[in-house]
Amino acid sequence: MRNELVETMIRAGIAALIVFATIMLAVGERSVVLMLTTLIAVAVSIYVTDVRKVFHLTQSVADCVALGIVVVSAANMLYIDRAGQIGAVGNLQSYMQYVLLFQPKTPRVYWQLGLLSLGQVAIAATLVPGPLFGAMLFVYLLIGFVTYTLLMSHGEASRCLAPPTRTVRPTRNVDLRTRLPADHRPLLRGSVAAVPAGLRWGLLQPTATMCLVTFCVAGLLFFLIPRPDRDRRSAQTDAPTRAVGFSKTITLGELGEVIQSPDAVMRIEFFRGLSEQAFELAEEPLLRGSVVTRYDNGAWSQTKPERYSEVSREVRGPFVRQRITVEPLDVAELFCVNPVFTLRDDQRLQLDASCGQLLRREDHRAEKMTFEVATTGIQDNSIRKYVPRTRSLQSSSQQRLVRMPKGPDGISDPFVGLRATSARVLSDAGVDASDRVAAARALHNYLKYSGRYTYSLEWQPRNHELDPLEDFVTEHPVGHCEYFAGALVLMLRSQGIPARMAIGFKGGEWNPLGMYYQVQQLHAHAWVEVYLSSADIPPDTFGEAEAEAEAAWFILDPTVSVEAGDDGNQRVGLMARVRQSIDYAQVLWSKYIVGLNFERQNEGIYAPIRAGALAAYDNLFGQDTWRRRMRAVSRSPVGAFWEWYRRHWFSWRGGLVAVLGSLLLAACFLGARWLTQILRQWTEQLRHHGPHEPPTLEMYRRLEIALAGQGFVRATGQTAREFAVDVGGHLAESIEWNRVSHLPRRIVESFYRVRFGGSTLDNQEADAVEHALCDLERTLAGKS
Amino acid sequence: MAHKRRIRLCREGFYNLLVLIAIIAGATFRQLNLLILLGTVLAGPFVFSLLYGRFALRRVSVARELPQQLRADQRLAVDVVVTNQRRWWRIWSIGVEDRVAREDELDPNAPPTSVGVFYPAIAAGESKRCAYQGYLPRRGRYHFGPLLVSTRFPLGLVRHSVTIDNTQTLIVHPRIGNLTHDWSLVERQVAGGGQAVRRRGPTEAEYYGMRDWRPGDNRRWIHWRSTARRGSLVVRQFEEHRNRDLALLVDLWQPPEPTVEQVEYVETAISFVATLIGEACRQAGRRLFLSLAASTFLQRSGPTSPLFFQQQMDELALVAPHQDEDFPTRLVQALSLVPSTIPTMLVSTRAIDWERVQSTASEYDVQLAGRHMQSVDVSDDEQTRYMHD
Repeated sequence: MRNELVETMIRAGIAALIVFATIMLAVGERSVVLMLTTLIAVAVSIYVTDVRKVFHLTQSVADCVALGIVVVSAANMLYIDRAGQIGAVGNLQSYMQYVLLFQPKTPRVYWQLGLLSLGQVAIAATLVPGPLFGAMLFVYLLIGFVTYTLLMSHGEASRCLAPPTRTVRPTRNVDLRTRLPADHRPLLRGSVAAVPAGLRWGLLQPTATMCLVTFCVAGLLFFLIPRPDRDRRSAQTDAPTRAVGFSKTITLGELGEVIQSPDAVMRIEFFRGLSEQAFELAEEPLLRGSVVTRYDNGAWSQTKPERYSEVSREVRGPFVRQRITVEPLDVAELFCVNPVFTLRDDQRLQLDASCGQLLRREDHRAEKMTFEVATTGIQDNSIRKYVPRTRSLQSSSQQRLVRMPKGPDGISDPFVGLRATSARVLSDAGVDASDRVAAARALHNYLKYSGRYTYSLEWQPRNHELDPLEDFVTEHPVGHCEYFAGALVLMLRSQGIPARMAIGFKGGEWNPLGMYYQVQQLHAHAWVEVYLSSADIPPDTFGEAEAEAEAAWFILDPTVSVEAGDDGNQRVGLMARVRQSIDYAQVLWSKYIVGLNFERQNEGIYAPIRAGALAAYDNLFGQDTWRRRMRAVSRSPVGAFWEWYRRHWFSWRGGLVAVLGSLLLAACFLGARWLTQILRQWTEQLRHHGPHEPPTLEMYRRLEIALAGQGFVRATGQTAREFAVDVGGHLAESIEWNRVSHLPRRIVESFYRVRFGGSTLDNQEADAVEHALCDLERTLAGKS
Repeated sequence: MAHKRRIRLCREGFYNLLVLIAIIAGATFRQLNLLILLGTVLAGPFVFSLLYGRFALRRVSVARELPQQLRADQRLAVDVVVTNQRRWWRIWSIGVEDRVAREDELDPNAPPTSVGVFYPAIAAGESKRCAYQGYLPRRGRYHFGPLLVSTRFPLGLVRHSVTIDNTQTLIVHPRIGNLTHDWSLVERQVAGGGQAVRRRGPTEAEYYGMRDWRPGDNRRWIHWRSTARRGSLVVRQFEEHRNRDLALLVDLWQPPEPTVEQVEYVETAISFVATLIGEACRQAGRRLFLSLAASTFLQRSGPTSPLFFQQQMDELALVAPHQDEDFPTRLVQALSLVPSTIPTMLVSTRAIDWERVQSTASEYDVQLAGRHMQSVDVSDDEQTRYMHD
């Protein structure tokens, strides 16, 4: 490769490293200014200092400027907080880079630039927690490896090619015992072997190998370096909490943009029992956060202050574990399939006993955390329609669940149309309201399947003289899940059936790579829970484990299903797969890189290694293992043979078998060795492209090459002998070469004898020809 | 050949290590996994460098090819051949450093001169040849080696090296200058009394050989084809001296505390003598007597031939001056072995005290009268009349 090209590549690589490191830092600091400034500085310095060479900072000026920058930056750091100081150090490194960029480029400057950019990456590591950092770090390292490999190679070559220096020394009165005149010292200059043309891309191979080794080593060290056994919470509290669009009070008509947001809320995995194999549900899970019972003037709210208690650890029947990783959110609710139980004490969780809400304690909301709870609300991979309650609700509570709101005057009924519609539906269905299940189904089916009601997230014109739900049921049957759920609740209540609205999330995006549901804000949903007393529960609904249930909640989701094409969850195109992959990468990054702690190390690395080591030790040295092994061997054909041999150890048959066996082994060994040699020779031949030239041709070819080096080329039509005689004449005329003028003819004579005379050269003759050739080559090359 | 392996942390590696330690320390202190990741990623190249260098230098052989002969005024070209004996792996960035040291009594502790050649890549099973070049301006015995094979691949963090104890010796002959036309005149004048010289012009002359052009040569003798090939004037020789024997007496004196100039006188004298011997040996049928008063006294005589020339060059390459203030009596004694008809050239590095020479000759019963003697005092630059570079 040409020198200029290599220098350009190095320059470009260093510039890319600086820019990349600054981008990483700028992403962490959320500063576009720094990134733009660096880009401009790099571009200008390349043009002005490296290409045009019209301006550069001398070393002393650069030192002064750098010192000034350090002093000013240090003074600034005194007045900013700790987080700001980290950013300031990163900025200081950028400023130092600007100074270096305008200095003449030497390997030392390149290394300083590289180390400064490395410092920026280190600071970025504290500011950018996402997998974006990993991706950028990968690219950064790749560029760095190639660039510094080129720089090293270029530096080594330049060192060899550096012209020899002569020290000027006085020529008189010199103590020659210690110093000699510089002119008498050997004056030597190294060189660099030519690089074959096809080798330009060859550097990728060692770079790839280096990357592979680097990432193996990095992975090994990263996962094996022990983390201290302490809470890492403090390191993660910087993440801001997100608004989830969820609240305990729902005002109809306020939903819209929030629930369309793709922001991640949580990730949930389901495991059967204690298994670690996640599975997908047959239908979308309903992840309840809260329930609202009170409706007034178009707003749903909870009616009673919370009473907190510990989450029950009593699990009845087969259960499913839910592993929930919640993003930092501004609400305390933990969204999951109900009812919930814990398998072990978790002080981070508490239960609002009044409505069965699972809540995170105050100090565990502002960080991303993982919880694990169990539920019996999933059976046969589906959400159960009937959720048992151990105890029935108090009558006051039941009263609240059937309470219909009054009009503004406190007397009038604002839901005349809704009541009438409910009654008509039940009448049409031939269902009596006392049959709560049938009545609830009838009303649910009316809303969901009658075709009169349409789902829409867009704003709808409403009759403001009517209650929003009355208007939805009677005049404008278009709305979103809250309208459907709210309407069903009131329709049920109008018929004396206790019901409440549950709010949370429905479904989520199933990630087949990670086997989890990724729940986003757009998955927010509302549905209905109908209270059933023991008499209302259909027979054989619960098994023996839940036979003691005194009541149950009947889950109904009256919202009209959205067309497949409109639902983001149904999109399984390329973009969806890419999104899933990115999401899974984020999960892996969060779990195994950013979130690697002592517990995970212990579970995933140390414990298996310890177990493996113990098993290996037991396998090697365990007495019981060896006894079992020996017993197995004794029962095997080998054991039978040994037993036979023990009894017949001195027999001619045994000896014969031993001798033949040994001979066979020796033959196998020799055969294998022979085969290996043959294969080796064959591969060598393949590598040297076919059969070798006959030695005679080789002899003449060498002669022609040696002579061609001095401009003696055989003319067309000239025989080899004529050529040799002609060349010999020319050589004889030369002072330098007349000593070897006879050699071409002698070599050609030998060549003729073999080539055309059919004779062979004996060893002595062959040696003589070889010597003659060497002598001729050396003399013509000017080495003798 | 003995091999000594060595691993050394380079300056870049040292700074990188400092950054690595700082990052790991910061990561451990703050318990930031991403910093730990960065630190471990930086440790990767170190590990690779340690492994690769050891791997790359394990099956590499190096050979040096010195020229058979070299004069101090000739360009030196030393081939260094590196062979990658592996069958599958290409090796990268191999540097070979050779050391050249002159065996020097004056400066025995002089550091050797280092010179390197660099091989960007050597394919599996390939032998790659690369030559370093230069000049060895002083005659003498030079020691080459040991060879230091090293690599800093890939990033220059660590230098792996293997010292191969492959030492070789090269004897560098003294410079040979060009004799001027004055020398021919002197030679003729000296030889004129006792020896018949047959001078023939080009038309009737017998072709004798080729030689470099000297000022005063007839331009018609120029052999243009050879001149064009060599790039310098070459003339045909048409005259043949029937008997042009020569005796050379050389007094290589140098004081115990020499100045640089005095060292140069010795070198110049040797170069002048070598030039005269070379000139004499170009013509067959001559006889040469050489008496050289140096740290050890040398006396050689014989018919001129390439072999004789070679032997005298070897002697002159290694000869060291004597420090005896008196004119060497053995030089005068040697004259007794030289027939009085043979012209004698006395070369000295100091002014010749002819009275002393006379008295010594009479003391040892050596007849100086009637001899054709010519002297050259190198300290007076007399040799410049007869020789130029």
